[in-house]
Amino acid sequence: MSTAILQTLFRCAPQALNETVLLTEVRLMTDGGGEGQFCSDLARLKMAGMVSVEEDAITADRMWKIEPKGLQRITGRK
Amino acid sequence: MDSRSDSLAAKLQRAGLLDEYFAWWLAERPSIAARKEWLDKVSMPSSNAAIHNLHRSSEAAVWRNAAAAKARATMDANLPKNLDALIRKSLLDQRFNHVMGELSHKELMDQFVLEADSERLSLKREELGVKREALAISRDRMEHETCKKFLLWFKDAKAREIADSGLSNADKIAALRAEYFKDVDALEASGGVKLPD
Repeated sequence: MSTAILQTLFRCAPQALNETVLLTEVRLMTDGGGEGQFCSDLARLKMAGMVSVEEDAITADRMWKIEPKGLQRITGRK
Repeated sequence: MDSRSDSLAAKLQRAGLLDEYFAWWLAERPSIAARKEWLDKVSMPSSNAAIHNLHRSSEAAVWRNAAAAKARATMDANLPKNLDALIRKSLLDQRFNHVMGELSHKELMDQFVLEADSERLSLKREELGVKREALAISRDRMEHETCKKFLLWFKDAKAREIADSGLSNADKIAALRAEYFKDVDALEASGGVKLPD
């Protein structure tokens, strides 16, 4: 699921994705998958510095985007 | 990350029909049969699995992304120029995510409907199997009962005597009935039991 998360964020970059939309997209890519696994993978990627999250100043939505480290992981480029 | 070059997504893209297909899908939300018909018309006959993969392909995700980016750009052009940057960013992010979410949600719902349909189909198949089994069991039981009855009849001298007699078939059946159901007839004659007409 981590790869699907990174690929989705990579495809949308530099646009940040709402957590709910990100989950739906990842579910589509992985043909299902649980929310628990999604949250745990997202947290792991965040700890690894591959993705980051920001709260929208107006709506307080959690907006995710890919970081250079995550881009490296997806593209294989340094 | 692109699909294989022989995939339906790649074929549609090469033919310049990917956008048209997804725009049609979004407007009509067609059944799998209708999608097959559409693809047949553009000389790309496809299986259910190929259509399923098309909707899960990276090309489909890129299309959703482009549709959302287009909606964002349209909103950006229409927002007042002097709008606070923070509010503008938030509104544009919301617009992008709203369109993207709507499209992916519709895809996911379609997926659930297809899965439910295929589960219903497999349930029907299972029911049919159970009915066939029940039919086979009842046939076995009937054959077993018939053989048992035959053995009983064969042992019964009186029944054999009736069967070998020169009576007509109807008389033989009446005589056999009188022999085998004499206890029921006696019960009825006693007046203790009223048999249904």
